[in-house]
Amino acid sequence: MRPDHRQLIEQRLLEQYPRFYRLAYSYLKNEADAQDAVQDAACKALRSWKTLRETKYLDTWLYRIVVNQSVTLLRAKSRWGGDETELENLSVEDRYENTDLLRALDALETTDRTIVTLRYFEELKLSEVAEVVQMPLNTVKSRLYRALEKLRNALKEEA
Amino acid sequence: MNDMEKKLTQLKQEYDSIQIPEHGREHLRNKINEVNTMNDNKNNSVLRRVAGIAAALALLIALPNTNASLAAALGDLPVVGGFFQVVTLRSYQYDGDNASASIETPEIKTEGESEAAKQVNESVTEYVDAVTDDFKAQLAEYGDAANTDVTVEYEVVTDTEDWLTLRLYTEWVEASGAQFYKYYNIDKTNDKVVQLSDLFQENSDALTLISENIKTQMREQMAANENVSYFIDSDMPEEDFQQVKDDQNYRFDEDGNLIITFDEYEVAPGSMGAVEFTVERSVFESQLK
Repeated sequence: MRPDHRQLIEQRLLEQYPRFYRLAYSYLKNEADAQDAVQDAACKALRSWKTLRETKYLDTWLYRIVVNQSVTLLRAKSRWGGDETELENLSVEDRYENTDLLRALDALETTDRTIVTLRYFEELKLSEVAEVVQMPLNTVKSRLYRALEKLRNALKEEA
Repeated sequence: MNDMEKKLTQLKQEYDSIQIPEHGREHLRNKINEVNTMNDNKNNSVLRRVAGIAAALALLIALPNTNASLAAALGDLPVVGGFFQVVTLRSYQYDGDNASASIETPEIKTEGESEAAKQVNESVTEYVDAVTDDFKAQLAEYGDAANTDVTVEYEVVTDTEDWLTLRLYTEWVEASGAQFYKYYNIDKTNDKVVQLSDLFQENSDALTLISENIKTQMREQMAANENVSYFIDSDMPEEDFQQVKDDQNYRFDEDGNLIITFDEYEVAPGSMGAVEFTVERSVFESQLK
């Protein structure tokens, strides 16, 4: 394990900041929280760089930490947040036109939502998605298909 | 394009147009600098120590796996054999809401003097103490919000007339987890700590034979079960599994077959965890020292 991993992590965090920020934002739906989530993730990554075994996993490892941090923050908010849904809808409708699909996406189980987001929005390969969520490739595939099915049904119902 | 695909594509465009806060990157850079300043005080992190110790061990390690009866017949070798016992030297436990540790330090006890046992004991104690110190430093810095769970356990995985193999298992879970094993193989007959490559004759191609055997097993397993996946035959051959390392973790089973083990991510995606392969003795027997 080389100490320069830390520098590499630092560099990648800064380079890829927009991607990590958008990913966090897609969960948290507001600027302050998304920034917090990415910063927390950066702290975690830099403190636990020793758990990164090989640099070829750097990107998926960072994605994983950002996702975990975003989900943790999201859960914490829904515990403490009170009128969270209203806030969420406000900012959502600000930015998104396809609120029906977006809402269906948010309603998915967290892991499924992560899989869809990484695959379609971040455009990761399925094998990379599998690394991020740490599941076998085939499980990821079947969860993805199932999630898409759910989205399709949700849209039908709304239509 | 059906309706949903169209919507997903639009959603992707909207996702891409999420605005990045003007000073976001700058804030992140400040945060990183802050973390680094804190970290500089505790630069002795666990894995670097593991690496260091593995390297130190490699230096200590030597020599042949002479046949037990031959060694006994020669009579001039210190035959330790018989009584090797592994006990818990000390145990450190911490149990908080967001941080926990369960760390055990094993010690090999022998009937007579054993240089190999001494080497392993020293190396193990140094390592486990380092892990414990790192955990305590984490606690001191972050209190119970450390969000760190650490486990160090040991197990005697082989104990035959000729071999004692002590396995040390470390799990360090923070944002994401890391698990790794370290095997200490003691040749009881010759009282040596032995790494994989030292089992074989000089210039032997045993490691290649073993590696090829493992690759065949990987392919067979992948063909038989679609949930199984290894780093082999991929689009990026340079990142595939090539060959076992000189100091690859190993042990012998009761029949003298080699069990080669890999840490998670070493030859397979994280979802596969740590994996092991049994290589039949016939594959490498002719190459043994």
